[in-house]
Amino acid sequence: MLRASVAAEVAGVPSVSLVCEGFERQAAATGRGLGFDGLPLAVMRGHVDSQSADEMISSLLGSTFDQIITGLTTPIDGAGPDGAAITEPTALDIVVSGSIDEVNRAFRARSWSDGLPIIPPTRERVEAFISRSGHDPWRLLGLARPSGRDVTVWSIAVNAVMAGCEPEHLPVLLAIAECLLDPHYGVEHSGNTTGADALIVLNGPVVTELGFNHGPGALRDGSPANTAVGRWLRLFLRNICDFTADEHDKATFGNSSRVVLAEDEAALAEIGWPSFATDFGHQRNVDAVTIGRINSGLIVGSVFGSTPEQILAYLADGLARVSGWDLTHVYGLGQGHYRPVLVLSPLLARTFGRAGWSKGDVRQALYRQARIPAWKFEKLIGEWSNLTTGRRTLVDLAAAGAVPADFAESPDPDRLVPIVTAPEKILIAVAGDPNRANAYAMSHDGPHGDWTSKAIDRSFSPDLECRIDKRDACTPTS
Amino acid sequence: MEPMYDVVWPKSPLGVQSRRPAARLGDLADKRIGFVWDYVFRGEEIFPALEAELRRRFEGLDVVGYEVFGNIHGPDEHDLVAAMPTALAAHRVDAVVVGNGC
Repeated sequence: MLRASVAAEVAGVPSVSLVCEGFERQAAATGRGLGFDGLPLAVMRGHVDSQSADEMISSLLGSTFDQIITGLTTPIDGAGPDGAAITEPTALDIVVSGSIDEVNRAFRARSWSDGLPIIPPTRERVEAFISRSGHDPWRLLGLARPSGRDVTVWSIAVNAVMAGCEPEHLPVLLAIAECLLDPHYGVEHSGNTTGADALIVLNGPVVTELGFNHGPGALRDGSPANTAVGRWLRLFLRNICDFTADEHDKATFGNSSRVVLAEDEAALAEIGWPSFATDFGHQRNVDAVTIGRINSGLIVGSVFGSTPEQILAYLADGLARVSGWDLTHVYGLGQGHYRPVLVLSPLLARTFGRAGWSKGDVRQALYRQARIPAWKFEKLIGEWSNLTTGRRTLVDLAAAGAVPADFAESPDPDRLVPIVTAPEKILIAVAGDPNRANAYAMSHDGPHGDWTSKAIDRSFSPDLECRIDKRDACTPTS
Repeated sequence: MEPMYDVVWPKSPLGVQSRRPAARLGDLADKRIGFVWDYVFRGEEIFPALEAELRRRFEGLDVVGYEVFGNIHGPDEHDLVAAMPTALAAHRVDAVVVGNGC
């Protein structure tokens, strides 16, 4: 919302932003991250969703209305000239000197850590972390949103050292950072109140060569590579994107950081299925990382059956049960953006593979069977959550072309409708204990953390050498 | 002797330039106010009430409705926000009220 206010201010049009009580700091921080400190807000008391219409309008026309008028008509005190800088440390400043306990206490007190002990990021340790891969520490990858902070190799490495990552993880982290910087992902939404957190899916030879766990205990902490890289993402969101409770993080209930989900590439090869990364356009056997924000997860436990037909209904039921208010990303906050994930254990994937089912066949079948009553879909995105304005029925939306015709096969409110707009919207990954019949269904936060995938480049970078020793030789020629 | 550590800053510098907000309006009479909505949190009730009160309080004030600017929190968010300056100019908007962050 503040992004729209800033767009108006840039155009020379004064703005005032309406926020509910408790959102003042986030709104101010968002404005600051876009270069505008102190944009006027008009605060609505409490939260509008829990007020009667009379209460809400009475409050609006009371103090909120006066704040709107003041915000549009009163000069903003302290608005600095263009180019004014905020005083902060520089990247190489020593911000704490002390024992490991003192460093950890200081980092916790300044909200720079996740509460767990960190490895002290000394300059020497960070430099050693980077030098192994040859990257220029000061290469700018982009601007973090919503903070407006620089994303450099250095800033990625400092937080990687803190998280306990190994130097060989840096190319993986750089690829994740590229995902976060891609506007398609929508990292600026990572502090929304529903509290989704990112799932990192890893593919390619990097999985086994760097020791990522894809087997028993997948998604559980304990495997150093999976755990440290997953922890790094939360530290990056905290320190570089400024997602802390003081600023941009408004999660009502957060998720714990997720350890990396590495796919079982050998099982995929055995049954002839494309990998998760291949579904996003990468070649087989290319190192790649794919991330998306997950709202909820649901274990589909003890899946019984030896044929696809026997196990499909239960798996489809898991996908349907994990999908709730997030269906507003089918239509509402998103449009065709909802892409839930079903993580199959290799044993379950083999049940399909043995019967000759392709991944596409499984998707088609899940699309047909993962359905909920139309009335429930409409209530989830309308009456119950108020997240989709207008309360239009699925029949109306289908007539308008906003959802596929499958959502309006009849006017019967008890008819079953899909949870996604097309079979390919259902994502499938294969990981976990190869000998157990369990699956994990996950819902998705649509455009507020949309699936984004980047290749991982593990080749030695010439950047640092070029910057220091061979500036002329390495300069690209036109 | 316990090891001591000199540690660097885990954040990174702000890469955005601080900018001056637009000049405020002296008075809202005879001005055109744009409503910009993220299509959540009861804007369909809030903005009509706001419009009625603004018109009652300020003579000659006009309103450009939120439908003109689209859903700035929906799937077209990036495109619509990028297009806002053009839309504001096209509708000769003097000031905007943007909601709702809840």
